[in-house]
Amino acid sequence: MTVLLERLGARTRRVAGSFVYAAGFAIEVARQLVLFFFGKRPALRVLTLQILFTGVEALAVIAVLSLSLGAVVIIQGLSLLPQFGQAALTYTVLVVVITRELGPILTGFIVAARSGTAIATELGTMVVNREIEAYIATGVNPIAYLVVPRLIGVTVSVMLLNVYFNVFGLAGAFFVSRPTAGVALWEYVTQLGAVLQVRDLLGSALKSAVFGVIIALVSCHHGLLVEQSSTEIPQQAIRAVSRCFVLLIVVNAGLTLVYYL
Amino acid sequence: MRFRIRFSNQIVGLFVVTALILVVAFIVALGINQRWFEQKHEYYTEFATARGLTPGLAVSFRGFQIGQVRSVALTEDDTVRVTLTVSDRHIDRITEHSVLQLQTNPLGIGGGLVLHRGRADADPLPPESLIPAWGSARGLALRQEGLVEVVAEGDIINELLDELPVILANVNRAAASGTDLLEQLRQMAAADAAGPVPDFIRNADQMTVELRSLLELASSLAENLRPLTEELRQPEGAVVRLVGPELDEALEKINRTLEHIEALSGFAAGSTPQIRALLYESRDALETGHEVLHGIRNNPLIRGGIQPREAPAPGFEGYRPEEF
Repeated sequence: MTVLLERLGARTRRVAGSFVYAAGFAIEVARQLVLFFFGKRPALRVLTLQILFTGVEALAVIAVLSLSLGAVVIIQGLSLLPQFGQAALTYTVLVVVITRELGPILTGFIVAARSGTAIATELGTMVVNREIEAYIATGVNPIAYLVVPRLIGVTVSVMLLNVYFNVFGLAGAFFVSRPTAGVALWEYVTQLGAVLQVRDLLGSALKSAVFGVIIALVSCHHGLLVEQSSTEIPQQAIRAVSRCFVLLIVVNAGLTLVYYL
Repeated sequence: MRFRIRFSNQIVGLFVVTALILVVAFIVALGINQRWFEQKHEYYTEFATARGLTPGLAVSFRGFQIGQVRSVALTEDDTVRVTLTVSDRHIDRITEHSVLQLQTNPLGIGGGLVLHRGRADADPLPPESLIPAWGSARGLALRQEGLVEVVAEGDIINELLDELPVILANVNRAAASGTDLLEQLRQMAAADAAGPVPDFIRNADQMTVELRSLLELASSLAENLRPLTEELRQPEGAVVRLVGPELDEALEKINRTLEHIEALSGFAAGSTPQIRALLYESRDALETGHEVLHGIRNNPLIRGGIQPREAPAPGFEGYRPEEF
């Protein structure tokens, strides 16, 4: 019984300690983020490269995925909803699926799987190679130089990829509805514009921004958790990705709940 | 250095700018499509309940959306005030005597407020004015006076439900008229009333009493006719049932007699050869006797002998050949 209590206490201390560390890490990142915008930007090059790796290089995957998804949604909607006399709801379903829900979450998943692991691995490798200590020794704040550009880069990339996801998804829906249902471009745009609201776009942008922040923070945090051994790097990378997925799903549910309140 | 790294700034810039252009295009298209910058005019209407009424609900005219519900609020006098906006392009369609009809879908989706405008000669209705609801007293009066151009746009159930208040009002009015008429008749039928109508009503009362006695008599007759009808419905008639046993007995006797005759006929038919042979033999015996008597008469010893006999033609051909 005593052993059990000891283990429980130790576990609680570890979890609380890691939580406190993560909170402190987030606060320091926020502080450096403010300084990034209002001070000199030595890490601008890092930011550009981060957007290149996270955003531009993921565009092809996002395009294929969203085109296919939009086509599938419009096919299902056009075949199912007219049976209930609700063909007009096809566009509503399209907006709900592509813009509100799947756009941000799928973009987040793809970025977490691609860039989250990359960030965690890169930072972990830098820790193992003592590069972080070298930055500190030369007076460069590793949070300001390594984490903040990645945070901004991943967040901006996820938001922009979400825009592309919406464009390609809605275009894919049109490309399918045109030959199958004979929907003209102007009719499609008019019908879509009648159901698409600005708050849908804002909600989608907000979600993707939050997801980008989560992915960047979690990945950087786990990358910097590597201490000495290179064997810790893949472990932390896997933890980073799995934790990103869980957090994305939970936060998505919370934001959707807030949206409909 | 790789191309992508070397021109990373340009590539990222293009990536960002393209996305921003797409976002702006999205928003501009939405604005044009939803006419954000068009002037809108406000009207209001009043409903008894807010069921089916939500902000953003479409206001349509002949199937085209001309506005939308801005707010739904409960007033201090317990009516539901619905504020709606109509776009500037359609303001001329809001005329005096217009009414708004709430159409809901049984599935809870779709629906909206449908505008039925006043007759063509009606004046435009200024903004901030009340547009009566379809089922309200004012809306009902406008429709009954024929001042509204009613265009059926909903399904049949909704139309019936919408017409229900009118139907009930008509029924109520008819019932009230019937009550008044009965009251007037009651007053005229009073004992102290005079005149042709009261006399007629009193005579009608006496006639009713006589008619009732006649009906009672007819009822008793009908009671008597019922068993007779039942008897007549039986498959065998009354005559048959009255003489049935005697007739059966007589028929039985006749049947037995016929059986005896049949047996006798059979016996006679079976004995015919014997009888015929007997007759032949009897005839032969008689002829022999006749010949004997003739021989005796013509006996040479006595008189001239016996004459030769002619064979007689058979009068009856037997069943068997003669050789047999």
